[in-house]
Formats: sequence, C-alpha cells, structure tokens
Amino acid sequence: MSFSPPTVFADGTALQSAQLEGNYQELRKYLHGSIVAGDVQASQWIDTRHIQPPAYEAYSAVQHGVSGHQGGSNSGMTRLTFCTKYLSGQGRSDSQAFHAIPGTAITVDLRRACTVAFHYWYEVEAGPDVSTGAGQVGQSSRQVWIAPYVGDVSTAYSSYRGHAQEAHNHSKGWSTTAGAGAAVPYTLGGAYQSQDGTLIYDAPNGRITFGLAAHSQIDRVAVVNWGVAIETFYL
Amino acid sequence: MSRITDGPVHDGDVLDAASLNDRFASYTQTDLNQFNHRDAAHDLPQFDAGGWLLTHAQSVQIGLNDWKHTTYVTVPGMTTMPAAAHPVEDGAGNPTVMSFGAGGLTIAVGEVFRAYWNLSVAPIGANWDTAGSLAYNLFQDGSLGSRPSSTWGGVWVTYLEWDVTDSSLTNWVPVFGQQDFTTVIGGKYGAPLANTRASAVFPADLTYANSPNGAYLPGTEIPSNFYFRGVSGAYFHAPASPITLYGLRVVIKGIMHPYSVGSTNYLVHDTVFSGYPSALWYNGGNLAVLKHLVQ
Repeated sequence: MSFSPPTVFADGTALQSAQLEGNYQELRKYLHGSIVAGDVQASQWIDTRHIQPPAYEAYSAVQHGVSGHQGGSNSGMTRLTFCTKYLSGQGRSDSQAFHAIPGTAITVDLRRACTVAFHYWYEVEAGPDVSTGAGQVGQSSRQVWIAPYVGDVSTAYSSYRGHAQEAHNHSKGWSTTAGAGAAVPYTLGGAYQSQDGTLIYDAPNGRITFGLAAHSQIDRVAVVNWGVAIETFYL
Repeated sequence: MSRITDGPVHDGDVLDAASLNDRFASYTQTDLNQFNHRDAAHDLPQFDAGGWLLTHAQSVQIGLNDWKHTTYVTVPGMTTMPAAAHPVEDGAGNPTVMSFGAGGLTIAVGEVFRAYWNLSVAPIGANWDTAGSLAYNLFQDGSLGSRPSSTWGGVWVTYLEWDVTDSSLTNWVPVFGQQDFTTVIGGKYGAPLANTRASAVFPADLTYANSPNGAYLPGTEIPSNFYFRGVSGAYFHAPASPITLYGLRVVIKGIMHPYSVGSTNYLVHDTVFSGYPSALWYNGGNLAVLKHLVQ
C-alpha cells in the first residue's frame, strides 16, 4: 500500500523529535523494498534511464542488472577440454560417477531467489577406444554422457542424468596403415557430436555454480568446442 | 527515488503543521511516476518479489529414464500414410507430456513462450540401399557398372505438439508454425520447410564410401554406427492474440528425406524400406519452457 506517515502533525501541539524521526524511519522502510504495484502509475512511464545500469562481471563473463544475470563464456576456439573414463569409473558399466569437465562451469552471485535458465552446448570427438582391459564395457557400449550439474558435481547423476546426452566411441578404431590417427574422420566414424541443452532451476540467493559433467566409458573424449550461458530472472 | 516536488525549507519559514506534513505528502500518492524518480533510481531492492517479468517456468523429464539403455523404446520406420506421430513415452505406453493444469497457461500479447527439448536417440539403420527410396543414389558409369550409395539425407524428425482445447489433453495439434507432415506433395507426405519451425532432425543412419582410388566408381558403401546420441530442439512463439495452452509434448516421425518441388523445399516421408532394421530407439530427455514479458 502507499506510504502513510505514522504521525500527522497538528498546529498547537508540541513537536517531538521521536515523531519526526518516526516519520522518516517509516519513509526509509517504504522506499527500501515496500513499494508495491498499486503505488505506481499504471500507464507506462519508466524509461531505460530510470533503471540502474547493469554491471559487467568479468570473471563470470555475465552482466548483472535489476532483473538478473545474462551472459556466459565459451571455448573461444582455443580452450579445448576433455572427458575420460579414468575419472568416471574406468569404463565399467556399474559406475555412475560423473566428473566435472574442466573449464565449463560458470558461477554467479545471486542477490535474490530466482529462476535460472542454464544453456549449454558442446562438440565432442569420442575415442577411438580399442582398449582391452578387463572390467570395462564392450565396444558397443563405449559412450560418453554429458549432463549439467548445479552446485555439486554429483547432481549430474543424482538429479540431472535425465538431461544427459551422449556420443559413441569412434566405431572404426585406429588406422592400421601408415599415418597415425583414427581410421576415418570422426564425422564418418559416428564419433562427432554437437549437442546442446537447457536446464531450468529455481535457485536461492547466494553463490551457485552451473557446469557440465561427464560419465565416460571411453578412454579419451575431446570436447573441442563448448559454451555455457546463464539467464536469471529475479522478477 | 530522490526527487521531491515540494520546495525546501528556508530560513525564516514558519514551522507549522502544514509545512511538516508536506515533507511526507509526496510519498502518500498512489501514482508514483517519473517526477519522483531520478535516473538509475530503480535497482533490485525497489522491486517486489518475482513472477511478473518471468511469468512461467517449467520442465519435465520425457521418455524412458534408463540412461545406460538397458531398455529403450522402439519406433519402427513409418510406412502407412498418412502416418500418426509417435508421442515420446515412458516405455509402458504412457506419453510423457508437460501439463499446464486445469486452467492452462495463457500466453498474452507482449509475452514470448520459449521451449527447449532434448532426447537420447539411436537410429539403427535406414533405407538408403533400396531402389526407390529417396535416400538411394546410384552412381552410374556406363559399361563399368554402377554403385548404390546413400544421399545422407535420411532423417528422423522430432517436433512439438500442444493442446489448446482443454485439459483432457486429447486434442494435440502441431504448435504454431509447425505442420504434421501430412501435406501431399507429389504423392508423398510431408511439409514445406517453412512450416517446420518446431522441428529438430537427426540422421537416420551413417554410411560412407572410400574414394575411387584410380577407378571411376566410389567404393562400396560402408556403414558406421551412431548408437545412442542426443537430439535437441528449440522453439518460440510470441502470439498476436492471447492463446491458452493445456499441454505440450514431443512427437517423432520418420524416416524423412529432403524433397523439392519447383522452388519449394520439403521434408517428406520416405516409405521404401530395405532389409535394414529401419527403426529408432530412444530413452530419456527433457522438455523445458519459459514464458516472460518482452515489452
């Protein structure tokens, strides 16, 4: 409701400092978070100049404004990263471990509880993994799953494995003739994937990290390009 | 929030009740506007709690949640036309849809509705090696013979349907800007690409051929294997008049192939199949939506 001073002064009465300060105190409270929609002129009047300009937060590469955050970071063609089965269960089928994909997380400092849209994309080249060690999955099951996580990396499995998308090991293996490398390009071997996803999350205020994690049953997977971006909505 | 239209107190002014009350009167009005606000006055603390800029957000898991694919849902290649779309389901015949409740979700003018989805899919072969299939391409070299190969054009398509009738969720239709691939084009069933705004496609198979290496024909077509992979799509709609949604779901059709008539490009059903297991497996995924003001 609109501001109403606790004291309305009347002529002929003693002016007390407590009354005056009481009015100022209530005005301070009103102006700091108590204005409601009904107090504001209904027809459009506010212009961009009336809004506090957003601040650019260099570390997380986002801008933070009145309505929330917007922005993100990407590989920039030079920040190749990786997934590997040696960090997520040695390629064994009973493993449910996910490991953080280096460099692909973004941390934001939320000033208020909000709804977050975490957008991500990546390109991977998977394998070839023709290893024969005991215990690991067979060739047809050699895949890498990439899923988002919020806060702790373990949430990639516990909460968001339904978001996981995957790529398969290079089905053609290594070249057996001169010229080291995969037998055929990754695109022809079925091991190149470009994927993306969006996670909607209701977040409390405070610092929180959104990132990508992998469960790999392939020895080496190159994440050749990637990007993570945030939209947050306070309002 | 600093501009006050009342004048300041000056030396010599008489202090009385009226002059004191005027100090606070500016804020008792119910139409605070530009006269009360300086530039950059509005920051987060001045705004009430959420829900008026972002007016809705929701996500739901779709498909069969078995991420390592012990089980999966199978969609056979569609041959009977016009084909019914396959709604993404949980493996027990229950479509996994996003419901907006009995009252639905209204997208007002001035709002945008955004949807994102992904799904783990495994195309397990297509129809490239059967004469008559749109994906069948025959290299001819006169007396030297011929070599069948794939156009690499065979795809499965996922797209969005919504129910704008009622909350019984029995009246699914393609979303605005999307057709259901039942338009007849040259005896085939499909849709012009201009009407596939809510579609995401992925290859139905993967083959390649080695280079001729001194011969005139390419080498024999060699199949590769995608096994499971991800497909994802995105869609937005900013309506010209309000629309109420009761449900949203992801459906699948295939096998499709690009097709052209005149100057219009289409995506049409390719119904000629080979001995290949022309089908699709899928597991789980996610469907997420946002609705917010844009003006």
